[in-house]
Amino acid sequence: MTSDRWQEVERLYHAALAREGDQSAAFLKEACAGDDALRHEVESLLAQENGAGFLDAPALEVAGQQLATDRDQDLIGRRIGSYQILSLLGEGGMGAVYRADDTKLKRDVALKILPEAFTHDPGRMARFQREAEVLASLNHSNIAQIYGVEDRALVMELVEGESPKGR
Amino acid sequence: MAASTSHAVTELLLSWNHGERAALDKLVPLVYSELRRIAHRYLNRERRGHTLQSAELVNEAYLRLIDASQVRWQDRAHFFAISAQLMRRILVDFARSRRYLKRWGGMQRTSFDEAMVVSPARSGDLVALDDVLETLAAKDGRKSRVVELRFFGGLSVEETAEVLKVSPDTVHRDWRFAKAWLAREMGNAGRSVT
Repeated sequence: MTSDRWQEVERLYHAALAREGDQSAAFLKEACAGDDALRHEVESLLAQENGAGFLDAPALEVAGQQLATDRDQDLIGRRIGSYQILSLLGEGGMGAVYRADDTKLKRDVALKILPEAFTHDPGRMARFQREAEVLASLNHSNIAQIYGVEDRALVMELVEGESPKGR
Repeated sequence: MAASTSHAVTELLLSWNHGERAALDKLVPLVYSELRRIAHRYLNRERRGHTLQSAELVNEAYLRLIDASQVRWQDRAHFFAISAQLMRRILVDFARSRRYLKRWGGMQRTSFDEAMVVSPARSGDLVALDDVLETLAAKDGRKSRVVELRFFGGLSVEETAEVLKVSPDTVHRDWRFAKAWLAREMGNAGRSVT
Protein backbone atom coordinates (compact mmCIF):
# COMPACT_ATOMS: atom_id res chain seq x y z
CA MET A 1 0.00 0.00 0.00
CA THR A 2 2.65 2.50 1.03
CA SER A 3 4.95 3.77 -1.68
CA ASP A 4 8.72 3.42 -1.63
CA ARG A 5 9.08 7.16 -1.48
CA TRP A 6 6.82 7.39 1.55
CA GLN A 7 8.81 4.70 3.34
CA GLU A 8 12.06 6.45 2.51
CA VAL A 9 10.74 9.73 3.92
CA GLU A 10 9.68 7.96 7.09
CA ARG A 11 13.01 6.16 7.48
CA LEU A 12 14.99 9.39 7.06
CA TYR A 13 12.66 11.24 9.41
CA HIS A 14 13.31 8.81 12.25
CA ALA A 15 17.03 8.58 11.49
CA ALA A 16 17.35 12.37 11.56
CA LEU A 17 15.33 12.61 14.78
CA ALA A 18 17.75 10.20 16.45
CA ARG A 19 20.64 12.61 15.77
CA GLU A 20 21.52 15.91 17.42
CA GLY A 21 20.85 19.23 15.67
CA ASP A 22 23.95 19.77 13.49
CA GLN A 23 24.50 16.09 12.89
CA SER A 24 20.91 15.68 11.84
CA ALA A 25 21.26 18.32 9.12
CA ALA A 26 24.57 16.87 7.91
CA PHE A 27 23.08 13.38 7.91
CA LEU A 28 20.10 14.48 5.84
CA LYS A 29 22.24 16.30 3.32
CA GLU A 30 24.36 13.24 2.76
CA ALA A 31 21.50 10.74 2.82
CA CYS A 32 19.45 12.68 0.30
CA ALA A 33 22.46 12.99 -2.01
CA GLY A 34 21.27 15.91 -4.07
CA ASP A 35 17.59 14.94 -4.02
CA ASP A 36 16.42 18.32 -2.72
CA ALA A 37 12.74 17.48 -2.92
CA LEU A 38 13.29 14.53 -0.61
CA ARG A 39 15.34 16.61 1.81
CA HIS A 40 12.71 19.36 1.90
CA GLU A 41 9.99 16.80 2.51
CA VAL A 42 11.80 15.35 5.53
CA GLU A 43 12.78 18.79 6.84
CA SER A 44 9.22 20.07 6.63
CA LEU A 45 8.16 17.14 8.83
CA LEU A 46 10.99 17.64 11.31
CA ALA A 47 9.88 21.27 11.60
CA GLN A 48 6.51 20.08 12.94
CA GLU A 49 7.81 18.88 16.30
CA ASN A 50 5.10 19.91 18.80
CA GLY A 51 3.05 21.21 15.89
CA ALA A 52 0.28 18.70 16.47
CA GLY A 53 0.26 19.22 20.20
CA PHE A 54 -3.48 18.95 20.38
CA LEU A 55 -3.27 15.29 19.37
CA ASP A 56 -1.63 14.56 22.70
CA ALA A 57 -4.88 15.25 24.51
CA PRO A 58 -7.54 12.67 23.58
CA ALA A 59 -10.33 13.81 21.26
CA LEU A 60 -12.89 13.64 24.04
CA GLU A 61 -10.92 16.26 25.97
CA VAL A 62 -10.45 18.47 22.90
CA ALA A 63 -14.19 18.39 22.22
CA GLY A 64 -15.00 18.95 25.91
CA GLN A 65 -12.81 22.05 25.96
CA GLN A 66 -14.51 23.35 22.86
CA LEU A 67 -17.86 22.91 24.50
CA ALA A 68 -16.55 24.83 27.52
CA THR A 69 -15.50 27.61 25.15
CA ASP A 70 -18.98 27.76 23.65
CA ARG A 71 -20.59 27.98 27.07
CA ASP A 72 -18.16 30.67 28.07
CA GLN A 73 -19.44 32.80 25.24
CA ASP A 74 -22.69 33.11 27.02
CA LEU A 75 -21.40 36.26 28.64
CA ILE A 76 -24.15 38.63 27.63
CA GLY A 77 -25.45 40.58 30.60
CA ARG A 78 -22.30 40.01 32.61
CA ARG A 79 -19.72 42.64 33.56
CA ILE A 80 -15.98 42.76 33.09
CA GLY A 81 -14.49 45.65 35.02
CA SER A 82 -16.65 48.65 34.28
CA TYR A 83 -17.90 47.16 31.01
CA GLN A 84 -21.40 45.77 30.72
CA ILE A 85 -21.60 43.16 27.96
CA LEU A 86 -24.53 43.82 25.62
CA SER A 87 -24.38 41.55 22.58
CA LEU A 88 -22.18 39.26 20.51
CA LEU A 89 -20.61 40.88 17.42
CA GLY A 90 -18.55 38.00 16.06
CA GLU A 91 -16.19 35.18 16.75
CA GLY A 92 -12.63 34.29 15.84
CA GLY A 93 -10.33 31.39 16.53
CA MET A 94 -9.10 33.00 19.72
CA GLY A 95 -12.18 34.51 21.23
CA ALA A 96 -15.43 36.30 20.72
CA VAL A 97 -16.07 40.01 20.24
CA TYR A 98 -18.91 41.71 22.10
CA ARG A 99 -20.53 45.08 22.14
CA ALA A 100 -20.27 46.48 25.63
CA ASP A 101 -21.26 49.59 27.49
CA ASP A 102 -18.40 51.49 29.09
CA THR A 103 -20.29 52.53 32.20
CA LYS A 104 -17.67 55.08 33.24
CA LEU A 105 -17.23 56.97 29.99
CA LYS A 106 -20.79 56.37 28.74
CA ARG A 107 -19.92 55.04 25.34
CA ASP A 108 -20.18 51.73 23.52
CA VAL A 109 -16.99 49.75 22.95
CA ALA A 110 -15.97 46.40 21.44
CA LEU A 111 -14.67 43.81 23.90
CA LYS A 112 -12.60 40.96 22.58
CA ILE A 113 -12.73 38.27 25.23
CA LEU A 114 -10.37 35.33 25.37
CA PRO A 115 -12.09 32.01 26.20
CA GLU A 116 -11.74 31.04 29.82
CA ALA A 117 -10.23 27.71 28.81
CA PHE A 118 -7.29 29.62 27.26
CA THR A 119 -6.39 31.64 30.31
CA HIS A 120 -4.20 28.87 31.70
CA ASP A 121 -2.19 28.62 28.51
CA PRO A 122 0.88 30.91 28.80
CA GLY A 123 1.51 30.79 25.04
CA ARG A 124 -1.97 32.04 24.22
CA MET A 125 -1.86 34.67 26.95
CA ALA A 126 1.46 35.92 25.57
CA ARG A 127 -0.04 36.20 22.08
CA PHE A 128 -2.98 38.04 23.53
CA GLN A 129 -0.68 40.53 25.22
CA ARG A 130 1.31 40.94 22.00
CA GLU A 131 -1.81 41.62 20.01
CA ALA A 132 -2.75 44.35 22.47
CA GLU A 133 0.70 45.92 22.20
CA VAL A 134 0.71 45.79 18.42
CA LEU A 135 -2.71 47.39 18.23
CA ALA A 136 -1.65 50.07 20.68
CA SER A 137 1.32 50.92 18.45
CA LEU A 138 -0.84 51.35 15.34
CA ASN A 139 -2.80 54.38 14.34
CA HIS A 140 -4.80 53.99 11.18
CA SER A 141 -8.37 54.81 10.29
CA ASN A 142 -9.03 51.24 9.14
CA ILE A 143 -7.84 49.68 12.36
CA ALA A 144 -9.90 49.83 15.50
CA GLN A 145 -8.23 51.82 18.28
CA ILE A 146 -7.39 49.96 21.45
CA TYR A 147 -8.56 51.64 24.64
CA GLY A 148 -7.17 49.22 27.21
CA VAL A 149 -6.81 45.69 28.54
CA GLU A 150 -8.89 43.98 31.24
CA ASP A 151 -7.47 40.68 32.47
CA ARG A 152 -8.74 38.53 29.58
CA ALA A 153 -10.37 41.17 27.41
CA LEU A 154 -9.18 43.77 24.92
CA VAL A 155 -11.20 46.97 25.06
CA MET A 156 -11.46 48.47 21.62
CA GLU A 157 -13.11 51.16 19.59
CA LEU A 158 -16.45 50.01 18.24
CA VAL A 159 -16.37 50.27 14.46
CA GLU A 160 -19.90 50.34 13.16
CA GLY A 161 -20.89 48.92 9.80
CA GLU A 162 -18.97 46.63 7.52
CA SER A 163 -15.51 45.20 7.99
CA PRO A 164 -12.68 47.47 6.74
CA LYS A 165 -12.40 45.46 3.52
CA GLY A 166 -15.92 46.52 2.60
CA ARG A 167 -15.37 50.22 3.17
CA MET B 1 -24.57 4.30 37.96
CA ALA B 2 -21.22 4.48 36.25
CA ALA B 3 -20.98 0.71 36.07
CA SER B 4 -24.42 0.28 34.54
CA THR B 5 -23.71 3.01 31.97
CA SER B 6 -20.52 1.39 30.81
CA HIS B 7 -22.24 -1.96 30.71
CA ALA B 8 -24.90 -0.52 28.44
CA VAL B 9 -22.25 1.04 26.22
CA THR B 10 -20.38 -2.23 25.97
CA GLU B 11 -23.54 -4.01 24.87
CA LEU B 12 -24.21 -1.33 22.29
CA LEU B 13 -20.74 -1.56 20.87
CA LEU B 14 -20.94 -5.32 20.67
CA SER B 15 -24.21 -5.09 18.82
CA TRP B 16 -22.61 -2.77 16.31
CA ASN B 17 -22.37 -5.58 13.78
CA HIS B 18 -26.12 -6.06 13.84
CA GLY B 19 -26.99 -2.49 12.97
CA GLU B 20 -24.54 0.36 13.11
CA ARG B 21 -27.17 3.10 12.99
CA ALA B 22 -29.01 1.99 16.09
CA ALA B 23 -25.84 1.69 18.15
CA LEU B 24 -24.69 5.10 17.00
CA ASP B 25 -27.99 6.77 17.85
CA LYS B 26 -27.95 5.40 21.36
CA LEU B 27 -24.31 6.23 21.95
CA VAL B 28 -24.43 9.87 20.90
CA PRO B 29 -26.25 11.09 24.02
CA LEU B 30 -23.87 9.15 26.26
CA VAL B 31 -20.83 10.72 24.63
CA TYR B 32 -22.42 14.17 24.80
CA SER B 33 -23.10 13.76 28.48
CA GLU B 34 -19.40 13.01 29.02
CA LEU B 35 -18.53 16.09 26.94
CA ARG B 36 -20.77 18.24 29.11
CA ARG B 37 -19.17 16.82 32.23
CA ILE B 38 -15.69 17.71 30.93
CA ALA B 39 -16.81 21.18 29.81
CA HIS B 40 -18.42 21.77 33.19
CA ARG B 41 -15.20 20.96 35.00
CA TYR B 42 -13.27 23.32 32.74
CA LEU B 43 -15.63 26.17 33.43
CA ASN B 44 -15.69 25.62 37.16
CA ARG B 45 -11.96 25.33 37.49
CA GLU B 46 -11.33 29.04 37.17
CA ARG B 47 -14.14 30.11 39.43
CA ARG B 48 -13.19 27.85 42.31
CA GLY B 49 -9.45 28.10 41.78
CA HIS B 50 -9.13 24.34 41.33
CA THR B 51 -6.41 22.85 39.28
CA LEU B 52 -8.06 20.34 37.06
CA GLN B 53 -6.58 16.91 36.73
CA SER B 54 -7.77 16.72 33.18
CA ALA B 55 -5.96 13.51 32.28
CA GLU B 56 -7.67 11.71 35.13
CA LEU B 57 -11.05 13.19 34.32
CA VAL B 58 -10.82 12.27 30.66
CA ASN B 59 -9.58 8.77 31.41
CA GLU B 60 -12.59 8.21 33.61
CA ALA B 61 -14.85 9.43 30.83
CA TYR B 62 -13.26 7.03 28.36
CA LEU B 63 -13.63 4.21 30.87
CA ARG B 64 -17.30 4.92 31.29
CA LEU B 65 -17.74 4.85 27.52
CA ILE B 66 -15.29 2.16 26.55
CA ASP B 67 -14.84 -0.42 29.25
CA ALA B 68 -13.02 -3.42 27.87
CA SER B 69 -13.12 -5.27 31.19
CA GLN B 70 -16.54 -6.64 30.32
CA VAL B 71 -15.46 -7.90 26.95
CA ARG B 72 -14.12 -11.37 26.30
CA TRP B 73 -10.39 -11.30 25.70
CA GLN B 74 -10.76 -12.49 22.10
CA ASP B 75 -13.10 -9.60 21.34
CA ARG B 76 -10.95 -6.88 22.84
CA ALA B 77 -9.11 -5.78 19.69
CA HIS B 78 -12.32 -5.71 17.69
CA PHE B 79 -14.10 -3.86 20.46
CA PHE B 80 -11.39 -1.19 20.71
CA ALA B 81 -11.32 -0.71 16.96
CA ILE B 82 -15.09 -0.22 16.77
CA SER B 83 -15.16 2.13 19.75
CA ALA B 84 -12.47 4.33 18.23
CA GLN B 85 -14.34 4.50 14.92
CA LEU B 86 -17.55 5.43 16.67
CA MET B 87 -15.89 8.06 18.83
CA ARG B 88 -14.39 9.55 15.71
CA ARG B 89 -17.75 9.80 14.00
CA ILE B 90 -19.53 11.23 17.00
CA LEU B 91 -16.86 13.78 17.90
CA VAL B 92 -16.30 14.93 14.31
CA ASP B 93 -20.06 15.35 13.90
CA PHE B 94 -20.10 17.34 17.11
CA ALA B 95 -17.32 19.60 15.78
CA ARG B 96 -19.08 19.95 12.43
CA SER B 97 -22.35 21.07 14.00
CA ARG B 98 -20.42 23.53 16.12
CA ARG B 99 -18.76 24.99 13.04
CA TYR B 100 -22.13 25.32 11.38
CA LEU B 101 -23.57 27.19 14.34
CA LYS B 102 -20.61 29.52 14.38
CA ARG B 103 -20.89 30.34 10.74
CA TRP B 104 -24.56 31.20 10.94
CA GLY B 105 -24.79 32.34 14.53
CA GLY B 106 -21.99 34.89 14.33
CA MET B 107 -22.66 38.23 12.73
CA GLN B 108 -20.15 40.46 11.05
CA ARG B 109 -16.45 39.96 10.97
CA THR B 110 -14.30 42.55 12.62
CA SER B 111 -10.97 43.95 11.56
CA PHE B 112 -8.89 42.24 14.23
CA ASP B 113 -10.81 38.99 13.87
CA GLU B 114 -8.82 37.89 10.88
CA ALA B 115 -5.51 38.47 12.58
CA MET B 116 -6.61 36.15 15.37
CA VAL B 117 -7.50 33.18 13.20
CA VAL B 118 -5.25 30.33 14.20
CA SER B 119 -4.21 27.36 12.10
CA PRO B 120 -6.53 24.36 12.30
CA ALA B 121 -3.83 22.29 14.02
CA ARG B 122 -3.53 24.85 16.77
CA SER B 123 -7.20 25.30 17.31
CA GLY B 124 -7.86 21.59 17.55
CA ASP B 125 -10.12 21.54 14.55
CA LEU B 126 -11.53 18.00 14.52
CA VAL B 127 -13.24 18.47 11.15
CA ALA B 128 -9.98 19.47 9.46
CA LEU B 129 -8.24 16.59 11.19
CA ASP B 130 -10.85 14.14 9.92
CA ASP B 131 -10.19 15.31 6.37
CA VAL B 132 -6.42 14.98 6.48
CA LEU B 133 -6.76 11.66 8.26
CA GLU B 134 -8.61 10.38 5.18
CA THR B 135 -5.68 11.46 3.03
CA LEU B 136 -3.29 9.73 5.40
CA ALA B 137 -5.36 6.53 5.26
CA ALA B 138 -4.88 6.42 1.48
CA LYS B 139 -1.12 6.74 1.86
CA ASP B 140 -0.59 4.60 4.91
CA GLY B 141 -3.56 2.80 6.41
CA ARG B 142 -1.83 1.67 9.58
CA LYS B 143 -0.74 5.16 10.58
CA SER B 144 -4.23 6.53 10.19
CA ARG B 145 -5.53 3.68 12.37
CA VAL B 146 -2.90 4.46 15.00
CA VAL B 147 -4.20 8.03 15.13
CA GLU B 148 -7.82 6.88 15.23
CA LEU B 149 -7.16 4.46 18.09
CA ARG B 150 -4.90 6.73 20.13
CA PHE B 151 -6.56 10.10 19.60
CA PHE B 152 -10.23 9.25 19.11
CA GLY B 153 -10.30 5.96 21.00
CA GLY B 154 -8.12 7.19 23.86
CA LEU B 155 -6.09 3.97 23.77
CA SER B 156 -2.61 3.61 25.21
CA VAL B 157 0.35 2.69 23.03
CA GLU B 158 0.15 -0.90 24.32
CA GLU B 159 -3.56 -1.24 23.61
CA THR B 160 -3.07 0.21 20.15
CA ALA B 161 -0.28 -2.31 19.52
CA GLU B 162 -2.63 -5.09 20.61
CA VAL B 163 -5.34 -4.02 18.19
CA LEU B 164 -2.98 -3.63 15.25
CA LYS B 165 -0.88 -6.68 16.13
CA VAL B 166 2.40 -4.79 15.94
CA SER B 167 5.01 -3.92 18.57
CA PRO B 168 4.58 -0.89 20.88
CA ASP B 169 7.75 0.50 19.35
CA THR B 170 6.14 0.48 15.91
CA VAL B 171 3.12 2.30 17.34
CA HIS B 172 5.42 4.93 18.88
CA ARG B 173 7.16 5.53 15.56
CA ASP B 174 3.93 5.59 13.55
CA TRP B 175 2.35 7.97 16.05
CA ARG B 176 5.24 10.40 15.98
CA PHE B 177 5.53 10.44 12.21
CA ALA B 178 1.76 10.69 11.72
CA LYS B 179 1.49 13.65 14.11
CA ALA B 180 4.21 15.56 12.25
CA TRP B 181 2.63 14.76 8.90
CA LEU B 182 -0.89 15.72 10.02
CA ALA B 183 0.33 18.95 11.59
CA ARG B 184 2.05 19.91 8.37
CA GLU B 185 -0.96 19.08 6.21
CA MET B 186 -3.34 20.92 8.52
CA GLY B 187 -1.03 23.93 8.59
CA ASN B 188 -0.96 23.95 4.79
CA ALA B 189 -4.72 23.73 4.64
CA GLY B 190 -4.99 26.71 6.98
CA ARG B 191 -2.68 28.80 4.85
CA SER B 192 -4.34 28.01 1.56
CA VAL B 193 -7.66 29.24 2.91
CA THR B 194 -6.36 32.69 3.80
